[in-house]
Amino acid sequence: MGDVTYEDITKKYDDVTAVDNLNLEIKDGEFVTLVGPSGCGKSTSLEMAAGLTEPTSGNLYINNEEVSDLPPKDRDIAMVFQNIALFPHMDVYDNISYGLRLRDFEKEEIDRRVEEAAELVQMSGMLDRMPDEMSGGQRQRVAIARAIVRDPEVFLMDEPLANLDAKLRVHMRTKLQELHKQLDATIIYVTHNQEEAMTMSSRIAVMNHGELQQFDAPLTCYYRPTNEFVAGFIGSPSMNFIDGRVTDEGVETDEFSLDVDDGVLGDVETGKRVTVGVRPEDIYLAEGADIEDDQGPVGAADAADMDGQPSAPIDVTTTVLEPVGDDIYVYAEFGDGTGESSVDDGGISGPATDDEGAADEGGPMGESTLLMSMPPIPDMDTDAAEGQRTQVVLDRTMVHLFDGETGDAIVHGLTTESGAGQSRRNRGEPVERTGQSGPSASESNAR
Amino acid sequence: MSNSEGNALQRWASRSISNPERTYKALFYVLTGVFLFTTLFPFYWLLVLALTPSGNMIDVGLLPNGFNPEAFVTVFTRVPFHLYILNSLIIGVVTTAIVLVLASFAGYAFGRFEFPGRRPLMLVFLAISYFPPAAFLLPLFRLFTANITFFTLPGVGTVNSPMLFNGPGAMMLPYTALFMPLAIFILTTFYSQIPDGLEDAARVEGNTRFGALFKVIMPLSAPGVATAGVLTFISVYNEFFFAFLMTDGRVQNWATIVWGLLSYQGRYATSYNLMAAASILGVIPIAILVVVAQEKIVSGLTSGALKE
Repeated sequence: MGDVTYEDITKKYDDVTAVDNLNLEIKDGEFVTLVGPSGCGKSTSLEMAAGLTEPTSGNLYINNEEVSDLPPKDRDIAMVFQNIALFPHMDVYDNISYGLRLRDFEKEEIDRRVEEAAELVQMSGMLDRMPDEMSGGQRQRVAIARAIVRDPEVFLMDEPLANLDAKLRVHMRTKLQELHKQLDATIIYVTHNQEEAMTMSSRIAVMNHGELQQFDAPLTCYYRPTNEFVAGFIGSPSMNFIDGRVTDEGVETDEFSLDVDDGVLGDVETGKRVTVGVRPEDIYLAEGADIEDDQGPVGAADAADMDGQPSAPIDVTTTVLEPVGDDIYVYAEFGDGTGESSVDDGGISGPATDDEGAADEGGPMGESTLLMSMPPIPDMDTDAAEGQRTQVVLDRTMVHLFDGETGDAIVHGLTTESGAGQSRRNRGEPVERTGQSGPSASESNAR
Repeated sequence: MSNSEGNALQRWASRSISNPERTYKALFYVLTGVFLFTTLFPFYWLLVLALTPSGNMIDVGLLPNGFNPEAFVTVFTRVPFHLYILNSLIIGVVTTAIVLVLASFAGYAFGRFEFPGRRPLMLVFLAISYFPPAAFLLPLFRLFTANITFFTLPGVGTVNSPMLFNGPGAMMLPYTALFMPLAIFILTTFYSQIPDGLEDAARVEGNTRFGALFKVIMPLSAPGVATAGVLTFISVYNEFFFAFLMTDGRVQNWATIVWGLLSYQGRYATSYNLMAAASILGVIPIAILVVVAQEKIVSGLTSGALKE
């Protein structure tokens, strides 16, 4: 039915390859998100499914039918655009019914369907409004109604929420998920916002430089990223990357070493250059260690609260603390803090959209800052807590190793107990400390 | 006295210097007055001529020498002037329609696609519109009077160009060629400003590219389409050269207003009062069109001028 299959799809513009040999099998009823930084080819991929852009080579199937030669109107698709693209010279009714009128539906049938679609997006009373008389959110809802009124097999959405303000965006996100459940149609959704991708999709296709990096469920992308790019792109704040090498006992970096359980590394040779990846929420204060402000030590969660297995304590010095509400982001330097402060170096901080560089380069050797995310401490004076020496541990079950050259993942979790993430999930405990973008959000529509 | 006049002038000068707005305003009224006088006086003069009885034509002043409004009726009884007007209107409307449709296709291609040679091709189009019509009148005349042999088919005979002389085609074809470049230019400017997303949306919703052009892009470019249409219509309606030379002047042979006016010129006498009355009547359709469409034309011309 609403299957969409990309088979060896390549799109070249002159000498730029926008999409390189894309293979995707999207099943009927799935909510698939194409996500990646700007220029990664995700929008081009979507436009090729719509028929607005022709692939240079490869085959595209919708409903198991080769559609490469079909114009957009014959593909049984509907599309919601980033710039909303309501016809400004038509009122809401005419906009929504446009596709139906072109297909010569009966007047009563059109009325019934328009009414239904408008009700679904809560725009019933506004059918005679013109687009310029409505707010951004209302226009976007009309655009969605225009898409659903034809009851197509596949919905294509190109950053439909990008032009809305933050609050409305979260609201519409929920609405879209509800709609997906009600319509039971396939949705292909493009966004550069990994948070949207995490929260809405059944599966995420992460793209970079025109190539598919990983196509998996959001949590799989989160816990078992196939390479450094996906690891850095998914999750906010993004993963810490520290360069290291494999030793006989485990993994060693310039700043600390990690024990690796026997057998985990398999046949990886000793001395191989690797990148250690650890998410901010998998770093804890060492047992007994504390962060102090000018009132003395403030209680903070430490390794005792950890489910996994702590590494050996690592000496760090806090540099900046950023309270963001339900979390505090702590930037720390390795060692006693005499090294140069480099809080904002690539690979450690910054919003998700800036992570392309970080993922490409990884942390340079000797990168000396670490971003950790801690539960909030009420009444803490974050300014005074800066420059404090303390000790942290990493959750070894949640440490990822990536190939130092190719960036491909080697292992997820340094213990034999189970792979990273699996331990938590197997125990059925909610993962709470991942920030607003974390997997907990993706598991419930409530957020 | 000269002293006080000098004072008045000085006072006026000093007031103007301290308050330049006054000067600008005065200049504005002077210029507007001159402009209105030069444009409107000929019409007034036509009216004077039209109202003057034909016998008093020798001695016409600023006021009609007598009062003979019957001339406005006589123009229709002496020759079928309404049919000449009708011919003009038909040729104008049909040419405008053809130009708008073809120029829309061209404007769509020029405005919404990037292709090699786009700018040079556009310049060639615009250059054509500035060719003097006289330059190709003779070849066209031969072509339209079936004097050009395209090729000879053995056994059938020669295949000549079609006989278009005395028909609407002889005028509409050259008009279309001459006035289309400007329409293409205007529509290109407008069509290029319609966001891609709207066209994409129309195509996803069920339009072909042509459908999207006529149902979404064209309606949204209404000021541009109106401007191009009105300018084309006025140009065709006003055209003298081909209208005069591509027909023999009989009304059933698609002769236009030009021939209608000339038909008041007899072998022995010329009814100037009827010519004047007919001229005024012939201007009316354009006057109505401009009054109705002027708002769109102005917005079309300026918005076209501001962007690109």
